[in-house]
Amino acid sequence: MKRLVVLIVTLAVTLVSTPQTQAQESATIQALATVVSALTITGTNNLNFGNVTPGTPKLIDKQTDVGLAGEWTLSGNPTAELTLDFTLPDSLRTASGSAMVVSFGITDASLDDGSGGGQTAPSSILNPLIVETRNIGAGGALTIWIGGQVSPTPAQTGGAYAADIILTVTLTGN
Amino acid sequence: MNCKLAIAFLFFLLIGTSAFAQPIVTGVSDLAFGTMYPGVPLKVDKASASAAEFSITGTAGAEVTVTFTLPTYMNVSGYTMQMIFFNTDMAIDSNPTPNQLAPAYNDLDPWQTQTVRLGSAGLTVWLGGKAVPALKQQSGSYVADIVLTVQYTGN
Repeated sequence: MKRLVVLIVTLAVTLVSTPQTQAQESATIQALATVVSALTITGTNNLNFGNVTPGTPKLIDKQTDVGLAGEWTLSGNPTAELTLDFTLPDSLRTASGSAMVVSFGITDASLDDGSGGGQTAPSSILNPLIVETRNIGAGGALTIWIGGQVSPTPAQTGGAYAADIILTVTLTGN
Repeated sequence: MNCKLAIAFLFFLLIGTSAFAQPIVTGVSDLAFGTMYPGVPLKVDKASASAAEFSITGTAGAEVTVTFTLPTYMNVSGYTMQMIFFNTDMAIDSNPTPNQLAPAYNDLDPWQTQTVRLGSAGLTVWLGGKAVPALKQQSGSYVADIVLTVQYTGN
């Protein structure tokens, strides 16, 4: 009997002295990061001249012709420097090969790096005839627009004309 | 008779010991680096809204050890991205109204076990860190586990 009492008291003392040190708990959270491509550019709108009348040139303005000017959207590392190099056609063509002259002037492109007011009040004018150097906006975005002019001849053949306009963007590393 | 008394004593002790609250650790916020670009490291400060946050509750005034198990890489589909935790990337506040910008215990080393006392509302723990994508880091959503373990010291 005496041993039993000693055993119980010993057990009790052990319980009193250790309960807190035995209590342990863990919780897990996660570290999360999304790595995106260093540079992504997407053609978001075609340069659309719509219906054109033979013998009557038609101009699409990069700023005022919202929805008709050509547009690219670019995303990348904020403030990274890049070059913008347009490859421009000299004519639009039908599937059967008929050509219609298209031309671009030295102020026919523009961009907004987020510091401007969008297409109608871009932050910078671009010359699409040369390679321009600019920076991605502080928000990691850049939008570029281009206008141009088609000059159909009086005898221009009817049909749907098209040509590729290519914008090549290269990070300079600066 | 003595035996009955001893059993009764033990019974009351068992009831008494159960009053010590088990520490409860809750992950409140992930360590969120957001969008990153190859070759561009990004540091999340422990005082920022993107820092990791844990909440600890238990017996007020009790001493506990707080130990992180930290990853060295984040992962996605077999790809890894290096992580760095500096020796000042951890902070703890024991105040009832935790202040992330001015915690009671600041600039702690998350690689070391920290010993602190639970406040009346427990503890809040914050953790910052740095992710270092390589120049040709694979695109994707990278994830790593951060574990916080809390244990009473008995003091």
